[in-house]
Amino acid sequence: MIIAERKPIEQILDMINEATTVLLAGCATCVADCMAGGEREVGILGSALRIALKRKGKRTEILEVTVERQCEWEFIEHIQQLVEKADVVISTACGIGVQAMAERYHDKAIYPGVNTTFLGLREEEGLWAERCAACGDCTLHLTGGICPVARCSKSLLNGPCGGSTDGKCEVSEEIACGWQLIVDRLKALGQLDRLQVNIPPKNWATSRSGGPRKVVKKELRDEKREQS
Amino acid sequence: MLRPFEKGIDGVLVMACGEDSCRSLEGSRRARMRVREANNVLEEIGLGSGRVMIGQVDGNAREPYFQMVEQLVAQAERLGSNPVKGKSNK
Repeated sequence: MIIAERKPIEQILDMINEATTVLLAGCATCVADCMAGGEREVGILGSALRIALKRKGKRTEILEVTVERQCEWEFIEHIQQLVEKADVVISTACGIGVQAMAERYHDKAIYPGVNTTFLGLREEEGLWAERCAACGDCTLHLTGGICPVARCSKSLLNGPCGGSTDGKCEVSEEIACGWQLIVDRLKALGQLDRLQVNIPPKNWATSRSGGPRKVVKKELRDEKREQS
Repeated sequence: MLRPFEKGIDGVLVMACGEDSCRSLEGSRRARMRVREANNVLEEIGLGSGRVMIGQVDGNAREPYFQMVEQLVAQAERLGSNPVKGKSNK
């Protein structure tokens, strides 16, 4: 899922500035699971902002709503009336949700309430960790199901490097060496021989290096319907 | 937990069962962490940490609750009055 963290309240207050009505728009999917921007977090942020604004002597009205998924038009369509009431919308969805809102409500100020951080999973209670860099050219079948791009600090395709010590990365003792994890996993799978094969240089054109990306599934494109 | 502070309340006591005797299994433990989270938010907006307290005592023990209320009042007095008090946005 997409992992995010709430922005500092002072930063959100700066965005609100002189608005008289603010809508806090949460998303009940990824950011709810990572406890950054779901219904519960919108409630907490709403209270915090009301208290902080009262302290500053402001009479800003804070509205709250949470949609199932802010990254889909059908869901954000339902909150049109609330969006129209607000001068500013603080979206606590990931960057995709914020942009979907900005595209749908193009004459409304839509600002982010969270920092979208990475693609990952919850390792433990209160601890989320990166797993995927969305590079567009998956090599997990070669590396024991552990991503060298996301989990090696240097994104080495053939590792480990000389900085790996006792399973830890030289960047920090708190970071597990991604390639040590790969070696351990391949050993468990009886596939250590895969390490003898050099993985060729990656074509980063499928990643961010190629600019904004699109996926087109032609069979699902309806030529009879006008599409943007 | 934070809603009462919007109205000017000085402190909140969350009363829960012992963590090992919670009928909701994880309820009391999670409540403890959410109290910590609420205090962090209060600290961030300048009201000070510690205005939300949790008491985790089995429901049939009365005396500890009185003590907890006294602790909360003392803590709230130490932190001072909620600055929102008397500032209505209506």
